[in-house]
Amino acid sequence: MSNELESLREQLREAQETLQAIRSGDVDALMVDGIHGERMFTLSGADEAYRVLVEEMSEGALTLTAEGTILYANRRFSQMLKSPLEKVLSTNIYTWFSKEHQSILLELLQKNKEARRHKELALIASDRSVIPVYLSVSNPHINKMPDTICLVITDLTEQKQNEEIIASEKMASELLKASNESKKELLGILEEERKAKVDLAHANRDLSALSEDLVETQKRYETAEKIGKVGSWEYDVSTQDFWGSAEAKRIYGFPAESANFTTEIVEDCIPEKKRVHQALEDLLEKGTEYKLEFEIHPADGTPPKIISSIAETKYDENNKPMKVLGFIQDITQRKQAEKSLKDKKKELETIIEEAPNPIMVHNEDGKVIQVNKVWKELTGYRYSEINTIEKWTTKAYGEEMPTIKKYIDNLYELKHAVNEGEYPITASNGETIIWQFSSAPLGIINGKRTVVSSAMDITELKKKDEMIINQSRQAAMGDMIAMIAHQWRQPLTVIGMVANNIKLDIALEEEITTQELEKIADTISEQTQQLSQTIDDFRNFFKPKQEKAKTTVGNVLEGTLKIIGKSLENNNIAIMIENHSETEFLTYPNQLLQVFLNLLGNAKDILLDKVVADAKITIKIDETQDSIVTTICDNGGGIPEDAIKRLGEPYFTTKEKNGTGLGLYMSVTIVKKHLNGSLTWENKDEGACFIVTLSKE
Amino acid sequence: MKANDSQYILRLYVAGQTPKSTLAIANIKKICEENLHGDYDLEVIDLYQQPQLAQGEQIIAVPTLIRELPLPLRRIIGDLSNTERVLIGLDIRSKT
Amino acid sequence: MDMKELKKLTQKLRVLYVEDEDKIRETTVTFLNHFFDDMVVAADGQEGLESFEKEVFDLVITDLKMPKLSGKELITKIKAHRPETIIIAMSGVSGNEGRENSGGDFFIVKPAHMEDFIGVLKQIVEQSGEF
Repeated sequence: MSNELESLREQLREAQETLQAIRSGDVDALMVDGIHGERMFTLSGADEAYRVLVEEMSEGALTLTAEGTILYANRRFSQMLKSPLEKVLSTNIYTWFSKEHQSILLELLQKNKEARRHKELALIASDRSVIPVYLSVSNPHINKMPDTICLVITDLTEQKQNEEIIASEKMASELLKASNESKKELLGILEEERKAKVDLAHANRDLSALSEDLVETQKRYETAEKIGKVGSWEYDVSTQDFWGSAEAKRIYGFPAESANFTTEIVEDCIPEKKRVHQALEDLLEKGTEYKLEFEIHPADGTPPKIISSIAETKYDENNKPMKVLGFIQDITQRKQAEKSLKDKKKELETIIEEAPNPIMVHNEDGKVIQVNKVWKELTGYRYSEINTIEKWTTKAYGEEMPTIKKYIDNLYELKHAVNEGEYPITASNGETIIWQFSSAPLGIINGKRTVVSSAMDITELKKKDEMIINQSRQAAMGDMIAMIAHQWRQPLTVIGMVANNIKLDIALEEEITTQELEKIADTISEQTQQLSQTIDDFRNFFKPKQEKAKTTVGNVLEGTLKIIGKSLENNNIAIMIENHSETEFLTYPNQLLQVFLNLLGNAKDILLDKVVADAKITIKIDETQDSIVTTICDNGGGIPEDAIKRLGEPYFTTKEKNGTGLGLYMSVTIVKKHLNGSLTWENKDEGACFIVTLSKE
Repeated sequence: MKANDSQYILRLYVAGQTPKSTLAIANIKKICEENLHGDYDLEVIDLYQQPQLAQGEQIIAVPTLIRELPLPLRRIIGDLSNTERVLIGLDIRSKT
Repeated sequence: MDMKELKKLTQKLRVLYVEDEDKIRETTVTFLNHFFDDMVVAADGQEGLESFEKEVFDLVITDLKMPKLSGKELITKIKAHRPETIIIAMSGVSGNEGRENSGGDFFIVKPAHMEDFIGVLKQIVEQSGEF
């Protein structure tokens, strides 16, 4: 009960509230039961907002009947049409479109389409101006009038205008571009035209120059023929006519303008006309090269000439011989020059061939152009065996061939003659001969650098030299043996005497005591010792191999005095030695000893010869930066002025007796060639000094 | 937040865009934001569009706000301009 | 004549022996002492000359090749002074050369053989007759 009451009270309260709200204007819509259900009844301005929206919006809005009658149009639409609203409402929408657009519009407004339809069309306003518009159609399905069509129209004027501006701007720039292109093209064309004109002018100029040249060339050609003594000729195959240039006529001894220059007349001048004619036939028939030399007897009686003639066939389109074009040249002088050159050459060859010294002409290609008679005789080789440098050097030098060949290769660089020195050569019979060579450049012959080499056969000379050396060595040996004999004599004498004593004691039947025997034995020992020593002293001198060894001059001198010292003493010759050098150096001690021996021996000889009282030999040994100098002086009165220069000559001696004249020559040779030094002499104080200078290296 | 979880479920019935309707929408929005701290679910029903919905809730005057939850149902008619009356009517404790 | 007999005859002779080489002199003196009791020995030509000038010698035996005064010079001087002095020249130089030029009466080659000596002594003794 109380619940019912409560609920009733509540309902009442709500109703009161509602009434209150209505009265106070808090509500502005009521829900009313209608025939078709709940309906809203708005009190005030419910639609206002919508209405304002539609009215004020910037698009046109319409509601149309299916036929197109305008039921409602907003303010904007009437503005678009530039017509007051009352003139718009109830009019037909189609009237505001052009004929063409009407059909489109009709289609657009078809009721059957469910979706919204859009189209761009154009309105025709009341003042006949065309408004571009965008239509949006919809079927709103309003309850009251289900066929109503809703139309929203947007004014595209501004948009269109903008588009136009842009388009026109675009077009303008396109036009500008196009016009620039055309302008460029036009300029290009003009330039080409100008160039063409210039070229034409040039061509004209060239043409006139060419024709001038042609005339000039023609003249020159004729002059050339004249100078070169060359004539041109033509032979026509079909007509057998013969034509010759002015020079050709002159060569044959005809006047230059002579018209009469036929084949027969020409051939009359040629003794060998058969051969010449044959050559022409061969050229025409077989195509054989036409190039000959023959003699002619000129028609004007001048001396015979030698002619060189060359020709070629000219063919027509069918490849048949049409003409023969030829040149002739007077080569008489040339031929003479050739002949005299040949003669000269022969002369030269003969000179070389018959010369008394061996001569070889060779060039940088390694070719031996000529070897003369003497060369072949002395070496025994035939030309064919040595006609290249390679062959020659192989045969003549054997193992040394590579070195010699290389040396010869360098000869072609020569600018002047050189003396090359002595070389041993193997002859064809295996013997060795010694030649001294010299070579000289001949310049370029046949395009190659050529050299002439000549030799002097010094084999005999060398043999003589060898002989001298042998002789003097023998002489030296002889001296040595004499010295050994001398030194042995004394010990032998003592031993002999000792033997005599024993024999005498026996003969006299006298006793020999043991002490006496011992003494005798000792004496014999001593003396045999001495004999032995002498042998040792001399043995070094006879050593067969000459070897280099390090020693001092002092040592060698000592050795020398061991050999000759006693002899000097026996002859009362005093020796004084001043040694300022202790330097060891590399040399041939034996050879140096031989030299000292020779010099001391010479000094002894001269002192004895002149019977000098207080005979004295002084030996000084000094040293400089590069050499050791040994000076051997005597007081034997010196060397006679006229002999000083000749003193070192073989076979020259100032000794009164026993002078072979070889000793000093030998010593000089040894010092110079083997000991790398020098031997000189001069007069000094009371005698002569001999100076041996040796390089320390 | 799921509708079921909210403490308050409110329904505002309006009549399209009438002045009072638009006012009511604005007002309830403000009140909910300031006092309910997101713990609410608000539905705006336009009876202009769907008039038949008025029958269910017995709506006579528009705008009307119904508090569906928490029970019991409460009804406030008007544009909801008087915030105090709304809070009391919906039984919403004020912030203070 | 045998050796002993020869010895008897030579013993009384006055002899001068000149030789510069020591060892030769020594051994030769030993040899000569068998034959001569009265012998003066000189070591070189100069000494020899001095000795010769002091005394009279029957026989001079001298080497030829000597320093200072050579044997040959000595012989020349002796022959000039007392030509009757008998001189034996001795030398290592063999061959006719030495023999002819020495100036001495007799010549013996060094090294000397005993027989050479004996032969020469015999000749001297026979030549000079009986002393």
